[in-house]
Amino acid sequence: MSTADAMRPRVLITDDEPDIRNDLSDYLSHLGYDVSVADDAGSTLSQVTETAFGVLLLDDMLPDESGLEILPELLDIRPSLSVIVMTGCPTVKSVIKAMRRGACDFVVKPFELDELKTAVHRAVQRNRRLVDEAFRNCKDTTRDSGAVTNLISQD
Amino acid sequence: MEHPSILVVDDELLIRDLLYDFFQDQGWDIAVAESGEQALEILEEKKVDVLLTDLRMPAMDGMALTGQVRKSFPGIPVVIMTGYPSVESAVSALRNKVADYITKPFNVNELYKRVESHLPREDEETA
Repeated sequence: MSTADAMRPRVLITDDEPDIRNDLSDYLSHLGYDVSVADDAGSTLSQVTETAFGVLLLDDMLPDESGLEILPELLDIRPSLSVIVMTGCPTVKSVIKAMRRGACDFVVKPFELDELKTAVHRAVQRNRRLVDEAFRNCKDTTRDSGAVTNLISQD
Repeated sequence: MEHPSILVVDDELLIRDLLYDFFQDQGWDIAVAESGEQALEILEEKKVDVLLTDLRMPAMDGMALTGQVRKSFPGIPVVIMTGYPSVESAVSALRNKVADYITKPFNVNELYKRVESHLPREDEETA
């Protein structure tokens, strides 16, 4: 993988409809994102566990489990993941549920690609901010505990 | 946190009175405002742990107030309450990093649980 590839934000698209997966994948790849796809909740959980995605586009209605149901588990695995929930049947209750479970955005199908582009861009910025914060906190904790000095002296 | 503080913003006197009595009974330090403008004046003078605001108000609405609070008082969790819930306003609240969205009429005990869950944790305060 080249340095340029490594810098591309990683986006996972989860949708059980192949046309939506393919169209979104083509569109976001064209915009420069490093895109992967999943077609159910199980595959989403395993891919998020294995790969440090920054953004997840998560359909609510999946064949094995609802996207909103697996949202807390996904954020336990990757707290900095920015999750955009997608649904064709929006209700006030489902938006509130997404909010309380840690989604950062919610888009209603069918959506304009421009709306999605803006949402993904915002989600990438949020992910970068959270990763930076986590890195800073980790550095502070490490410095406070003297672990950095220990690591250096071990070299 | 011995006495958490809350600012309730609603143009309806009945709601302000109900929540004032309720939160005071729970031992909270509560202030009330009848408009977004008044809320911002109170925030200039008083430390607030949580802001609970109505969405639909004359002049500055709850979402506009949220925007002002984000800019001038970042870190204060904002909880929206509304008697006119819609997918659009809930999504807008989510995008504006509102902590919670509660529909009226509400069960005051449920509302209390939601509001309390957004209080800053002790370890965050001392960090």
